[in-house]
Amino acid sequence: MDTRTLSALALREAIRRGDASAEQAVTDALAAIADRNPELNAFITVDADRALTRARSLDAASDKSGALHGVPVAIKDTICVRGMRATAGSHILDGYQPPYDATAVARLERAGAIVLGKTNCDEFAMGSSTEHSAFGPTRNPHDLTRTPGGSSGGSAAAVAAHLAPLALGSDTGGSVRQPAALCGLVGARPTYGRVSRYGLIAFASSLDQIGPFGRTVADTALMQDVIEGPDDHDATCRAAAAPACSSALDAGCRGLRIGVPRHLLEDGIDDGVRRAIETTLAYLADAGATIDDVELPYSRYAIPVYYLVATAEASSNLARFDGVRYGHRTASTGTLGEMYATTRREGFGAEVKRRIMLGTYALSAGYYEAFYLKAQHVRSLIRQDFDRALDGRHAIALPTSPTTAFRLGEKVDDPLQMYLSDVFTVGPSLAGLPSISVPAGQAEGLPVGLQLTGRAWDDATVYRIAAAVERGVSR
Amino acid sequence: MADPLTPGAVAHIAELARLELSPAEQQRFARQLTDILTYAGMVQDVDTSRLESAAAAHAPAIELPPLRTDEPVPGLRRDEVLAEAPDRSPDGALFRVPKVI
Repeated sequence: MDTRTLSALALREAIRRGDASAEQAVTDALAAIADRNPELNAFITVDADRALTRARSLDAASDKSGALHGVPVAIKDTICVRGMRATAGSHILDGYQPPYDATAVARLERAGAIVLGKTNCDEFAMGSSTEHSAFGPTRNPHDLTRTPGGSSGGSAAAVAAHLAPLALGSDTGGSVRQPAALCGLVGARPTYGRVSRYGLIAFASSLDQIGPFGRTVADTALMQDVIEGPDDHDATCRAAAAPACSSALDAGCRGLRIGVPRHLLEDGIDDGVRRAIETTLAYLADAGATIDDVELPYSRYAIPVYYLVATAEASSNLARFDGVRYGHRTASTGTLGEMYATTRREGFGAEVKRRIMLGTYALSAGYYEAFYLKAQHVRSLIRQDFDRALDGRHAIALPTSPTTAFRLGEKVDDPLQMYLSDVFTVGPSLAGLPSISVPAGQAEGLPVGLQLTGRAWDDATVYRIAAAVERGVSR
Repeated sequence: MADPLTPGAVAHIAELARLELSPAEQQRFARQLTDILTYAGMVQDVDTSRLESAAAAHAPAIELPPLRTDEPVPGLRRDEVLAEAPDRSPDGALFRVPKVI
């Protein structure tokens, strides 16, 4: 049995039955990493000894009831694993080994999952292509000349190339959903507050969420079920009076109402993407869903609002990287102030510097009202758009990305064009809503993702519709 | 909308951000930040007057849960945390930085 071809659920069942072992699953995954990672650059760090030791101890355990017993997982390198190098794709964290586990990681391990290592990402999750990593770009397994999307591109490439059945990413403005779409995977952004961010290296705290990647909707839902729930270490994380993500995957979509903001699909979208999305929506209608038009009038402001709010929060969050408590400190001598400024020049890459500058500007005296505060007000209007659109509807459907995977180097020198690749994903982020990307066919041989966004805390319905899409697309 | 940012203005922001920039970076960021801010400045066209009460201005866009009780709990171990520091006092108990006074 080649454990790499199995879904996480099938692998868990095979291990429970005794048809496979955790050690075999890890050995197979490590072989796949050795084979493919040199060209993909999906993993920054692999800890084979740790994974094998853990696998053997899980195989020796009499209790195999863990929801992810023996399942290897990959972790985006913005998320801390105790004692395992954490980089966030940046040289400013050189040498850093977190003295604690992220809550999401601790919960995965408690459920029997095995961490293989840490995956590549845009530096501090700032990017849409994984090209802004201090460790080089990740390549898309579907076409090595193209990006896997980003910022969680390493996690997406790892799952798409069968190096692991599941991975964690983090999604601030689309960093799980967009790479999931570009790599042909399921990727979810949970409702804001549903998954603890303790141990996630902060980028923009009013937006950051940890989210799962899988090759199937059921695997992805299971991973979210394992990691979610209140946590004393994250004051924004709450108990959900809501059903589990995997509770209604087989319920179909009869009777569900899905709004499509067709006014956003008129231009700026690849024809092939549009065709794949229309085919998928027609399938959902055949399967009993009601599809109707809906308006999101303020959505044209989502990108500007996002890049003002997220950079302002980033400029504040990244102030902690100053060469004092962890990571890189400059070797040059000088005053304390010079030490900070030189350490940060040496440690941060160009995109991070650009965003710190943008955010500092948006928060500075004389510009705060015109940029940051104004953006917060428009953010409220964007949230009201979604509230109105979801009144009487179960979800809003859009393409996850306006294009399929773009070529490496295509947008890396044009920050504004790169930002526009997030045009459909930033709105749900600003509104704090559950949003998933599910494979919706292909265009010119490259994967297309359908993004489904639901009501706050109703992640289960979003997964339910995604499961219906999965059944339709695989017919 | 926003006037073009001068390299001098960029240098001032860099100082606020504790970020040393080369003259070439100042030039490049002056151009790129002007482009981005000109685009992002479209938010100023939106009528938000009905949201601009003091309460709305300060309300978080995302609803937050009630605060937990404030009780001391064990934190991270000091030696493990300080082991990550680029420089520390000889007894390993303090972060060390360049002389301030």
